[in-house]
Amino acid sequence: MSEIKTGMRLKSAVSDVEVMVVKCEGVSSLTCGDVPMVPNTEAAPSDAGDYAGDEVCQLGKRYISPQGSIEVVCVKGGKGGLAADGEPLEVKAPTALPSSD
Amino acid sequence: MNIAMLLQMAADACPDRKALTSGHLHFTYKEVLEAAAKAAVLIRNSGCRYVALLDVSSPAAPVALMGAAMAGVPYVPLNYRLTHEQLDGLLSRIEPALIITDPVLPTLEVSGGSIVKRRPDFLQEVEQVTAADVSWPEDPGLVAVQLFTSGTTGTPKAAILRHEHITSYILGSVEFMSAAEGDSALVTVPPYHIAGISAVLSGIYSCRRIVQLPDFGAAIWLNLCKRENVTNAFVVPTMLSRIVDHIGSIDGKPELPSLRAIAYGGGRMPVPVIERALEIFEGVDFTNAYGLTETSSTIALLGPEDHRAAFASHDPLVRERLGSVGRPLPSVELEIRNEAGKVLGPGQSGEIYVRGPQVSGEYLERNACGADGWFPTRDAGYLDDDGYLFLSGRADDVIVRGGENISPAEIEDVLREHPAVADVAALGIPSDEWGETVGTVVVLRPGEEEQPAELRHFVKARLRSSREPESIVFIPELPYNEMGKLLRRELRALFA
Repeated sequence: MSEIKTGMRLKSAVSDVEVMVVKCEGVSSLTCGDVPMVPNTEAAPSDAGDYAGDEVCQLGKRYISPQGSIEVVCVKGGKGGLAADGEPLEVKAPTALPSSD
Repeated sequence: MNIAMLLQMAADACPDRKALTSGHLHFTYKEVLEAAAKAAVLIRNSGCRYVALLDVSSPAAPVALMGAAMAGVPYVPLNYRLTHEQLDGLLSRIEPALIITDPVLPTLEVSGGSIVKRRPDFLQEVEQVTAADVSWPEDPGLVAVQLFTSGTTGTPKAAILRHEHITSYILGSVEFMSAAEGDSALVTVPPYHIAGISAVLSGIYSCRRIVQLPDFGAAIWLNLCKRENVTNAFVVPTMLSRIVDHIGSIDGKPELPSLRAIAYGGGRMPVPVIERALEIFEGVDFTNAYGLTETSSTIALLGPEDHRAAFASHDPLVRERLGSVGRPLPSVELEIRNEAGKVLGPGQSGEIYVRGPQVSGEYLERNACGADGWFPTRDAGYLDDDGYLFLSGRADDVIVRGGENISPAEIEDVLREHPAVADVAALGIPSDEWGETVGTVVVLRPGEEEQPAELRHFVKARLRSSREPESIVFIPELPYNEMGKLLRRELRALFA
């Protein structure tokens, strides 16, 4: 797929997972369940099948690469772990800010 | 990201949790999402290019905000306290608009293809829409909210916040679904204020029920806190001051076992008020939030631990932090610069500049941000050695006496300590000798007599002689707008 940019909304080809890209620098591929994710406006490849593993992507959680080159927020939860250029993303620790509104 | 995504996420995560309470009406997240999608159909079919809301806090506010977002047009909440003339001026700048109004307001005359719908009619029409897809344009650069600045000076400017600014603010400051089932936030700020908009969005993204109070009064605020088991509340300083005064006038402390946190902002908090509030609401977490319309709300926070540490401390530098607005959010860069644009160090006062993904700094008329993305806030202030931000008023309000910069706040803080003084404002008045000198407007406590010489001496004894007020005017009450913002422009006329 084309280059991944901040602000993109991507969906999994193998499950219900959708993410918004919050930050991205020089990442060329984002996968869910080891299959490249696609822009949510495009049709997923029909031959991708369903994810059968145990990993999940949780609604509202933020995922980040170990080097911080990409950060996404999961806007639709589902099955399959995320990876950027083959490197698994990790859950980002919640922001510990008091509620201000 | 479109702000409607935030609502969609909440509706996916907890569809049947209560999202909103308004009087005796309740709405779940699923119901708010459905209503917004239906409102978007109405908006698209109307052909209008704006959605305006001329109303107090009501269920129409989140429905119009999210409906406009889904339809891809700006949401423009308007101040219902404006005069007819002022309102006409603003309405002519947003044609054609679908205008939702409070049914108690007089009939609006509109032009340019705008349509007026009274709130109950609007909500009923929304309900009657039969088919509505939940969808929205993805372009994060679309304008989500257009807010006319309060216009304490000159013609109101149209500040614009794009979807990317607002969602950056929410994602950067609120953890998704962080509220427990049963948590609720009492919202008393009007919908046309940035804090009223961010309260709706933070409530939705944290999945914390919003309890709306359209007409603030101290007694009704306390009653509603109790009746709705409110856990969090946001108030402006004048509201907290009235709550504290009200509690002082009744026997004993109010019993509000569910109340855990009070956040405040929107204006300068007098230190004696927050001190009394900390005494009364022992155990409640206080947070001071500083932000501007142009920054999508909060950019700096003084958190609960800071409040407790400052309140308990005998170290004047730590104690002083009760009057600070805390430290910048992790996602916001903040600098103090002098008039030449040079970045100043700790303790040096200048203009506050901010930069970050939530900062718009944009008006329809022009972009106030520099090429490097820094937004000049026109607020004056300084940072202490530990990075706590202290505000000293609007940059335009700084008194320049013989080349020396004087913050009105330092004089006001001193005079407020005088037993005869109920309220006070300091401002620069033109002077042939000094350029400007210090003028003060004083409201006396009941039964007190005018003693200008005594007040002048009181200031001189505590501050440098340049701070001594040249002239003092006594009036019965200071002019504030409904958000507690002092209208200094009106005071200047007293010295003309």
